[in-house]
Amino acid sequence: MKPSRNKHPHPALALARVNRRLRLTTAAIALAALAGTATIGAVAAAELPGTAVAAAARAATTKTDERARASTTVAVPVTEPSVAPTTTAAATTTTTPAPTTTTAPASTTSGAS
Amino acid sequence: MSQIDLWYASRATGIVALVLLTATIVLGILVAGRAPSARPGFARSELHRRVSSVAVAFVALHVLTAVLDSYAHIGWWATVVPFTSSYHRAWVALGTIGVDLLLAVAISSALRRRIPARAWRALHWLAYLSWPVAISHTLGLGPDTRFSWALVLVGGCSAAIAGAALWRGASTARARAARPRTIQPPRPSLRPTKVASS
Repeated sequence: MKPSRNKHPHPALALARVNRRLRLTTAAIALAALAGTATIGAVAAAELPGTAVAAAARAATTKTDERARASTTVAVPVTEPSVAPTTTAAATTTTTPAPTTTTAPASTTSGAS
Repeated sequence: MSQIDLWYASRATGIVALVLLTATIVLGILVAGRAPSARPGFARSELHRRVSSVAVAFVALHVLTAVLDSYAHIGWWATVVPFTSSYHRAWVALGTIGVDLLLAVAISSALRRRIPARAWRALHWLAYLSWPVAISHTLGLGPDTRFSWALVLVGGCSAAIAGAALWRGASTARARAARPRTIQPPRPSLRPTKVASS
């Protein structure tokens, strides 16, 4: 009767089997870590906008995410004149008319009685 | 990859790196305490080493994406020198200290055969210090900790470390109690005795 190879394998075979299991376990852990990264990133991206809006409403009591606030603010374009107006000192001579004041002569009637 | 993708990638790799670091430390505690297992001892040590390699790779990814994200303004210098980042200086510094501790542990383990065993063991104990530093960095800087699932992850990591540490402490105490106490005879004095010559 041949001895069972599964129960008493050759030491080299046992070592190779352990190494293969180790490689598989490591690969499974690395894959699970990558999948976890993708899942956490997706969940954070899906949950953050709503949370940021709620956090902005109660900003005094909750810690708000600066990145979320930065991404939710709407940038308002500011239009500036492309050519700045040039003012020359000579062209802007203003003449202020002198105030004309007319004083009505006061008629004083002094009647002697 | 846009800046906002880098931001999410940095956060996700940070949390996964924390989980992997926790797994590495728990495996290390179980290996050092010689926990009963169906696997041979060298296989458990090798698994601990491989998981730690994956953890270091994810820490590197976390640092890389954080530096490449231009929003945070974390320079390359701030990845190794603490308190040099303008973005959340203290919390980023905790992450930097954790990276430095991990680098010391990883480099000393790579050079294990070339350094004294006592020095390697002392450096390897820094891994225990890196974990609370990493947890503080996560809780202080990580915006995901406001989510319940992230808190569950952080709580699970803390429970795993606490459980492993308690098991190690209990097994060490049991081993000390089971050790037979023998009264050793007094050692003979090595001092040369002067023979008085008369």
